[in-house]
Amino acid sequence: MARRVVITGAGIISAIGVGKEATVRSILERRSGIGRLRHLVTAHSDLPCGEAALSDAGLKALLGIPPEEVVARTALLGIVAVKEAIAQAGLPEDEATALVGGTTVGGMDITENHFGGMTSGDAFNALIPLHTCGSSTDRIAGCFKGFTSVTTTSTACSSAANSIALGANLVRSGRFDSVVAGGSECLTRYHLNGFNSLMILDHEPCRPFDAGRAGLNLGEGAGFLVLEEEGHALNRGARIMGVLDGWGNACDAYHQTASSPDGEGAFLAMGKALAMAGLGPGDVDYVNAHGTGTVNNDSSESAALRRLFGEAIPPVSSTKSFTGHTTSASGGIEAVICLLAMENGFIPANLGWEKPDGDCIVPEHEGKEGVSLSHVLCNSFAFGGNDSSLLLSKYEGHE
Amino acid sequence: MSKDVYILAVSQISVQEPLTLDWLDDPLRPSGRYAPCREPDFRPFFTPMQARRMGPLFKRAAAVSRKVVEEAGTGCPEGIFTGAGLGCIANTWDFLESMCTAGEEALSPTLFMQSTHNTVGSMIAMDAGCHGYNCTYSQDGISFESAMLDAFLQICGDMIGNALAGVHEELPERLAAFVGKGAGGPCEYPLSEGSAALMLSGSVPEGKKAMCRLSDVRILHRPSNLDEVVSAYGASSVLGNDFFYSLFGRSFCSSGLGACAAAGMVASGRVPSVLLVNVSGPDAGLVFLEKA
Repeated sequence: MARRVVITGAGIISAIGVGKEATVRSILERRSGIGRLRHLVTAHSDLPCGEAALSDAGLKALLGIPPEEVVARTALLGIVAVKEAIAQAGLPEDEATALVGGTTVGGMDITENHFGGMTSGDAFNALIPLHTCGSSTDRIAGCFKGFTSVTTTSTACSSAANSIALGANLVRSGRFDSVVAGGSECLTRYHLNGFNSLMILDHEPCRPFDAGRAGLNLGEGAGFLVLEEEGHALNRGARIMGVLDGWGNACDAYHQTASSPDGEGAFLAMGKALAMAGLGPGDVDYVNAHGTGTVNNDSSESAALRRLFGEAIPPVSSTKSFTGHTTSASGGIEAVICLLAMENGFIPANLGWEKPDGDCIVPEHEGKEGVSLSHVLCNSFAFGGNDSSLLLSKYEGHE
Repeated sequence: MSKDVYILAVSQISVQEPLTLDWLDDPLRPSGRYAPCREPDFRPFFTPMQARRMGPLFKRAAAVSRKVVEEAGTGCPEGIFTGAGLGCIANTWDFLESMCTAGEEALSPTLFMQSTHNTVGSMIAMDAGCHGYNCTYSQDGISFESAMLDAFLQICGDMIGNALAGVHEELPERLAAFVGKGAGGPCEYPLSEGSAALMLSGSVPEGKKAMCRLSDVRILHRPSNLDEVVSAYGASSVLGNDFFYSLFGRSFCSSGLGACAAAGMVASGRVPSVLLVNVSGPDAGLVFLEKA
């Protein structure tokens, strides 16, 4: 019998708040974090984004990091979420654990802000190594004592989901009894311009699955989970927040940036997650969709949902209408939202949805409270067709 | 976790003779500040039209990947595990430079589309039509060991039967000075680039011979007792950064290229077992190979 992976801690920061409480409040009040940029300096300041409220200076002050230290915003956001997750789990400080981060931009904010100086002289040489994804995760690890292994997945917008899957493998295999896994990503001019050049950014707040949807809004933040072997968590008296019963990763292998019309990768990823959990489509009470708001993603994901669920599609919503598309962090942020939904008995709204589209499922656009959710699927899809899905369950006691 | 994992085939493109290990007895010793790859003849792999459309990073990655899959005879790998420390740095750089110098208008989407770290891993999947597990790892110098660890655990845990693992880095000459500035002052080994691919399997297909066993993979962060960890393996040969830097120059893929060389050394009976010890900043990666 495989070792069961439970969740004993969760941390989150995004445009809708710092921490789980603020996040739940924003979702129940249907308050989106998408709006005008306040911190990122760009020629495209007219594009709505889901920017975290705190500046770099504010984040450093919150974390007790000296203001003069140059730290990638991706790392700062990650430290906030990892701290919250570890505090909730109550992991002993010296517990040997692994950190699996997920990011694509890494320290790109530092590189783009110092590009001239970095390329012309030697004054900024010390900042060059901060560019990488790995250095950002190492910087997060540096704030804690217990991490004896550190790595980073980088599969663009499914990075955090894949880091949670890798973390779960590290626990299931017996390599670790506990692992902290998730993802973190800050807004940068680099990828704002990249997505803008692809012409998939909506100039209005995004409307996932709506007939008039016109693209995504970028967001930023971090979401991390403490994954733990069930017996280990029970033995130390930790409160179990949920179970990671299954995870699936499949490659669409269709196009570098477009999803296949039949949603093959998404379909396979969700199916694998269900199979590992030993569950069928009828057991799923809610799907937190990748739901970016682009014409292509939402129709492809809908095709995959229809293939998997047939006529009986469970409630589906995209919380990117609250947070924006937090790219590499999205799988972590949305996994935390799924856990909060199970804990508090709500289905998040799918803001902005007005008109059905024949190519899309009809989302649970108003949201619901007072519901009981036992099993939820959390989807993260990416450039390169790197599609992943996590199956999270309410903890019903030791089986 | 008692399941055996085998390395069925390896392939590399580096400063050494490409797509072979024939040079093992008489390797080049790269010197200077920058040592680019020796490119193989790509004509057997791609049509002229394909080759024109593909950057050097993808050509190398696709060539070594196709070669090991073919040699192993496993067909489409069940999982593709790709290390990418700097990722598609050439496209990233060109997009960044144009954004920082020419401004935020009229940027090319093509550069951006092919600039994420997972571009290579997903292109390998598209090239082979593989819908299986696909993940990319980016942890500076231990990106390779991170990919190998996930592949190793998934084969041991019976989640997949075989895996294509690799690491791919590019360093065009125009970026060598910049990357060099970040890597700290002059060093006895040149900066370099390369591609390494290894076909791993939980069993040896009939009529095939494994090169060696992959007995363990570990990644460590700020290890306080690395020497103890290393000696506990009892490896007949312990090869560190100097081993693979002296053969392949310095890059985030050096240890992956080193693993290809070490697999060749075990396969040919030069040594019964090798522990590769790769220290990269605060992180370390260990790969333990034993004769099959």
